[in-house]
Amino acid sequence: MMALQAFFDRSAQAGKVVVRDPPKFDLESYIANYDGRTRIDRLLVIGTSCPPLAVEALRAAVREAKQGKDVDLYLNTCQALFAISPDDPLAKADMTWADTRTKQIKAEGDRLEAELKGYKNNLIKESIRMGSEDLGNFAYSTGDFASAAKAYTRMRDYATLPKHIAEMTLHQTLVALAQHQWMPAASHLTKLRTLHPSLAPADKPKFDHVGYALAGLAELAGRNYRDAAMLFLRADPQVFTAAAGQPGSAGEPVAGVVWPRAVLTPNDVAVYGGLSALASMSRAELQARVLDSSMFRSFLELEPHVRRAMAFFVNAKYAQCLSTLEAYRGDWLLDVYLQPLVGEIFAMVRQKCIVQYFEAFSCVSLDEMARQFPPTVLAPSAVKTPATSTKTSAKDSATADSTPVLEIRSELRALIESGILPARLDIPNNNLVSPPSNPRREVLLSALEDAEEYERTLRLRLSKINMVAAGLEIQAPNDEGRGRVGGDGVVGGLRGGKGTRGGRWA
Amino acid sequence: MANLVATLLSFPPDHYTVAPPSKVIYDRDVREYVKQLDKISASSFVKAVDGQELIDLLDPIRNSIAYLYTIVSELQSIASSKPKPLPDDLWTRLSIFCTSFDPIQIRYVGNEFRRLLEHLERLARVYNSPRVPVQLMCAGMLRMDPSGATFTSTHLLYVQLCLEARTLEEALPILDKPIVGFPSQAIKGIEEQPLCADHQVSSAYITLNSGLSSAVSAEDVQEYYLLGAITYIGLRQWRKALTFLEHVLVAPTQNTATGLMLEAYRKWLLVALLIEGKSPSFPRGVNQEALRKIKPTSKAYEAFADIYKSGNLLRLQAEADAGQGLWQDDGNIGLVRQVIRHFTESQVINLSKTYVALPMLDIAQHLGETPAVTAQYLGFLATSGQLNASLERNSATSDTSSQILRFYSDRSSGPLAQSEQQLHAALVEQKQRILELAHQLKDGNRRLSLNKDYLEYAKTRRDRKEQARDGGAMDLDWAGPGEDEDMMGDLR
Repeated sequence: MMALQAFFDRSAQAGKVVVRDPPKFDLESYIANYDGRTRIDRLLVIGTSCPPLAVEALRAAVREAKQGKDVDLYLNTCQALFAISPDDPLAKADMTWADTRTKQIKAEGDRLEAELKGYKNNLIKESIRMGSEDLGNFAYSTGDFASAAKAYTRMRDYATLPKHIAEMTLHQTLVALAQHQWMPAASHLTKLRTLHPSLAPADKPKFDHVGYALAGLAELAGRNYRDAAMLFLRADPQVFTAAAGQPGSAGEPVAGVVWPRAVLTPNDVAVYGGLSALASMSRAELQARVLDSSMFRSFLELEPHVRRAMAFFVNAKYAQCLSTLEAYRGDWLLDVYLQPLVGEIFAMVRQKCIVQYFEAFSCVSLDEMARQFPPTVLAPSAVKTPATSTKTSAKDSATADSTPVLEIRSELRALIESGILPARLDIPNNNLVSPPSNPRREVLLSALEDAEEYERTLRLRLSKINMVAAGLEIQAPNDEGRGRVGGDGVVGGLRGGKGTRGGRWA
Repeated sequence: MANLVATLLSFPPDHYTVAPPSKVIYDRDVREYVKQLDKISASSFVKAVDGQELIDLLDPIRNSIAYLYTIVSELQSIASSKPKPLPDDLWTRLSIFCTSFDPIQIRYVGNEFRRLLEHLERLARVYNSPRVPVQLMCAGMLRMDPSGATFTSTHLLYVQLCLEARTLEEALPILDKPIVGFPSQAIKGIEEQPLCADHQVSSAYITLNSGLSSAVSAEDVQEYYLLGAITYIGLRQWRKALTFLEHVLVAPTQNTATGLMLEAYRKWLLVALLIEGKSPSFPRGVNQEALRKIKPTSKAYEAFADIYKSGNLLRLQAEADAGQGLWQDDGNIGLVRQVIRHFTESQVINLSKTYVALPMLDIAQHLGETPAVTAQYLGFLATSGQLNASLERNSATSDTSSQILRFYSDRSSGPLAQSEQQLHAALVEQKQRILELAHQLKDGNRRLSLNKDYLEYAKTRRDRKEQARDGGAMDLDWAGPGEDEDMMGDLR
């Protein structure tokens, strides 16, 4: 227990995410939704960020890794477990297993290479393609992403059907996602969407539903929230959920992978899509595109609290919206893809809430603002050390309420200065005041401004025209240099020094 | 000698007062008269006649041409002889002439008139009180061409003089008149109206042949604008200075840049900071190739502008200090100092975008000054018209630190309020200026369309069109009869 405590204190000090309260989900049933690499990835994230679940998660990760072919991953998980629980029997890496597994991998790799070579000699396209695919899959499972990407790329030359290319693209996406390369992943998926017209009608929905969900994920991770939301909204819940299969059953693979289990579940689509939409859309848009969308509604039914947060936002109940999100902050911080984004997304939603809330008023006291948007809830410090910050906020509310006001004041000031919030602060009266609107005056002012700009342009134009008409044009110099700025950037002397004559008075 | 007087007085003939002559006859008479005057030697003008000076027999309003000849001869003789005190009544005569001559007559003797102005300029340099000749020169130029809209070699001379004599504000009457025309060759067969006719634009009679201006080059025009900009900078009229600098930058060029453009670009960057706090977009029509040559040599200025935008006073100050020698050499040190002063001012002014009101202590903290200094500073900003705000004193104490600065939301209230009527009036005035410009633009367009190159282009185009019509194609270019659209008409 001592090691665990020390490990997480160090992480918190280093600014890493630490979720001290246990999440709302049950680890075992949560992780049962996933297969393959993402299972170990997710367990590792939970194991290194959440003290109450750390040991359990890492032990599961070690057991899981030992069944796989990625020896480095196994050693890493062992090391992670050792850091928090040195006495755990699983934390001691099984080196004999590692040695034999390395040898096995080497042998299998050689065998696949040899087979591929044989296919190449026979010049049968389909065999070469499948041989490359096998080699890519194998390299992916051993964690050798560079070779995997190379093998998958080779498939293109031997593809005979558009479907083959689509499959290859999906493989490449998976490799890119595993390496956290969001931009290449997104571009692979764009390619997949351009293939859509040439695919066989029966294959279309399969590739589509995977493509949209994955593309949404790639954009989300690349912080393009609006694009992400639009892509998630196009994913078809029926096809996607069906592909996931029932718990225990395998589900329907596309390109040899059951995507809803290997990368993101329908529940994840709901959370990822919902949060991207909340962060990037206006109230009207949220209602029309998300809440009223018959397709996305089915996803949202899986995560009702996301739907609730959106409904609160649409109905202008901003405080409830924020507190609903806040309740799940811990859960989302333990998600492998959301972890680095939660703070940013929450801050965006909060900004939008403040701006939208204030839109309805001409003047709000800062006390009221602080009550509506309790500063400590989403302040950056809360991300790292939620336990301590809740303690201080409790103390504050007990003693004096001036600190929240000060905090909201500086937050509002930052919003105003960055031009997000159209308002001004009245410090002596402790008010937030909306800018006066005087449309008549504004029109006059803008007309005057336009006219001035128009006059300026016209005058310069006229001057130029008249100079040309009078034959006053600056001739290109015959000899480079004298009196001119030469092409090589050397400043020539000013014309007889006359030009600087007035310089003294400048 | 009496003969000379008779010749001088022979124009305008008496019968003009009875029946004003037609423009053509007037034109013929004047030319004949000037031909006669040109035959008379310069020395005869300065001789006394019957114990009376010749000039006293002439009326500067009626006999403007003769008066001009006489006074120029006199100035000439003074200039060529040894320095001696100027005759007392010379100034009187000069000022009477410059403020009252008949500009129509003078159009015919441009060369002499220009020499008069040049003498005045020379006098201003040697005379210990330059203001008088400077003012006379200005009066003469504006009487000759009240619109001041045609550039002449005297324009450049005058601005140079004002800068050297440090009489900056004297240059304003000339600088404030927008230049729309340049002396050029009259186009044969088209612009052969007599000089005395009522021309719509002054460039119709200020031509290269008229002698009112010596030949000017594009560099002269650029120098005029640059010196004008320096004058405006000296008078802290930033907006006008910026426009003048832009005039230098948009000068037509065959993809080459001049040192004047380089200097203008550097000043332009600095002045733009004073007005907008950032580098504005380039005016349209700047030659991109020329710009490409200027920019790499002005990196220090661009860096300075970037730091200004980043909003860090210490860095700005450090950059200004680092470039001290450069600013000094370019004659821009004053501008750089001005920019730094303006930086603090704009910080306070920008507070009004974030706050309705805030305590003095906060501002003092923001500026890193004591409340007393801050209060003084704010008072200065408010009285100099840069800050639309007022200081409210807390009635309980007289301590300055408890004061509150209250910004007014916009210019509709507060000490710097502008009423809607004022805005409307400004708009109407603006409209008038634009309409006038549009008129001049038409004229410029007409002149360009008479350009030889354009005519050739138009001819080939017409030929091609005729060929096409022969082939049976329809003339699709016909735009139909239409009036010019009155865009601002509904403003009235």
